[in-house]
Amino acid sequence: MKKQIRQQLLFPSGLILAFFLEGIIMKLFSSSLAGTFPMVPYLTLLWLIDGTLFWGSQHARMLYWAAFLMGAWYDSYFIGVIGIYMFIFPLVVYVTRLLLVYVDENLIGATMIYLIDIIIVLLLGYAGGRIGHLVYFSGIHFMAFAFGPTLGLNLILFLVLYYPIKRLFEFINNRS
Amino acid sequence: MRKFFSSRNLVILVICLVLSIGLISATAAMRSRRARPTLIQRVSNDVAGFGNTVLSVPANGVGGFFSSVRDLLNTYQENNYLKSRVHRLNSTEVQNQALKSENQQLKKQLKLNATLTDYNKINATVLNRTPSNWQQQLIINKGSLAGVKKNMSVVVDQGLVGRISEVNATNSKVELITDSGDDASRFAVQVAGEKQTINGLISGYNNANSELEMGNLTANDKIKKGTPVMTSGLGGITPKGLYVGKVTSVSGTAGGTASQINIKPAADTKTITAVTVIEKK
Repeated sequence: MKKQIRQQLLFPSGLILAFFLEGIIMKLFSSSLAGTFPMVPYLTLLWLIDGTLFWGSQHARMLYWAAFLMGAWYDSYFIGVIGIYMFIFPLVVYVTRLLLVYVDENLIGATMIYLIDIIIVLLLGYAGGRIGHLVYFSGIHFMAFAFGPTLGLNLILFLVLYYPIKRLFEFINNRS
Repeated sequence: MRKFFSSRNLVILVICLVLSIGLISATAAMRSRRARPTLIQRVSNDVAGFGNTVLSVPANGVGGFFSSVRDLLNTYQENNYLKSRVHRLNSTEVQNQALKSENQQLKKQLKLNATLTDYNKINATVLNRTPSNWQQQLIINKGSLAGVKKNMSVVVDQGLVGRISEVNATNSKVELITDSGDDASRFAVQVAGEKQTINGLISGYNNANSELEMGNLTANDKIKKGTPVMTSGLGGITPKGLYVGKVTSVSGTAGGTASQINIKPAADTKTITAVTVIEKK
């Protein structure tokens, strides 16, 4: 019973922690993250994808709900306009689960899936911002200055955190 | 093999797309019209703000450690520089005092109770920055309970950094001056030309060299490099006399009209940890 609760709690609590850390890290390192090349450490997304990869195979319904609610919160607290990440996060979970049918879950496969997810988030997020009239960047500028660096940063974060997070999920799942 | 798109999934996708666009447009429109967001949004934002404050304490400790080390390394140089400034500051302060009292007396004689330069101050700490690469927004730890209202101006020591765009009970969002999105409100500013004062709006931000662009100019005059740019108080939202930055160049002289003045902002919007919210009296 205790084990089950622990398994159920790890994913949502990690998600909330990642949510807050994302904004705090953005503030602490804003001199380099919000400079000429605007970058975002998408930690919430990272945890969401890692959760889908390592934990989500039996918890699809909870995963979608978590993604949806977290997306809505993300929109409300960070962006101020609701409806952008609220739908992108579940979509990303869907895409990840879809690709997991064809790709094995290992470092290379997971990285490829994560890259596709990040590209979806960047492009659709920008499109959503455009619809909400929030964007201060032109599309060309976005592609030239923000797209590449953000992709690179998140790729590095994913590679660095891949094994620790995988071990964490395995540890919680296997401990009696 | 599973079908890539079953018809059920396609229907869900289309419904989500429509809902998404509808929600974005609706909330974006509401955000610019209403003074405060909906109750659900306010409550969830306040809960988030609380969690954020709790987590900020250890995070700021770590961040504070690094900046302390950096500060320590700069101490000697900074001390020398500051010593030279302090002497000048004293005399300016005395002069300021005299001017202030004179100004008050003159206002009394003219029966001017509140002018564009009078304002109240609310101090706040920055909780976080919006993790987005197409939006420049801060979240601060004071909201409607502390008296923050929408459209108030936000400054740091060096100058104007933005304005309040959304108010919750215990936190609010600041739209930075460098955020020149379609929906962002423009700041009315003025700069002294050689013969006359030129009014205009902050119309954009150049991300490559971190300079603000001032457009919609009312007059054509020569402007010296380094001339200070202030808010003009026109439009009635921002108080007059908030320092914005210094002129670096004038560009785009099509047909003899200076169409754009480039401004080096006084405040570095990338490293803000505490702000002051200014309310017009």
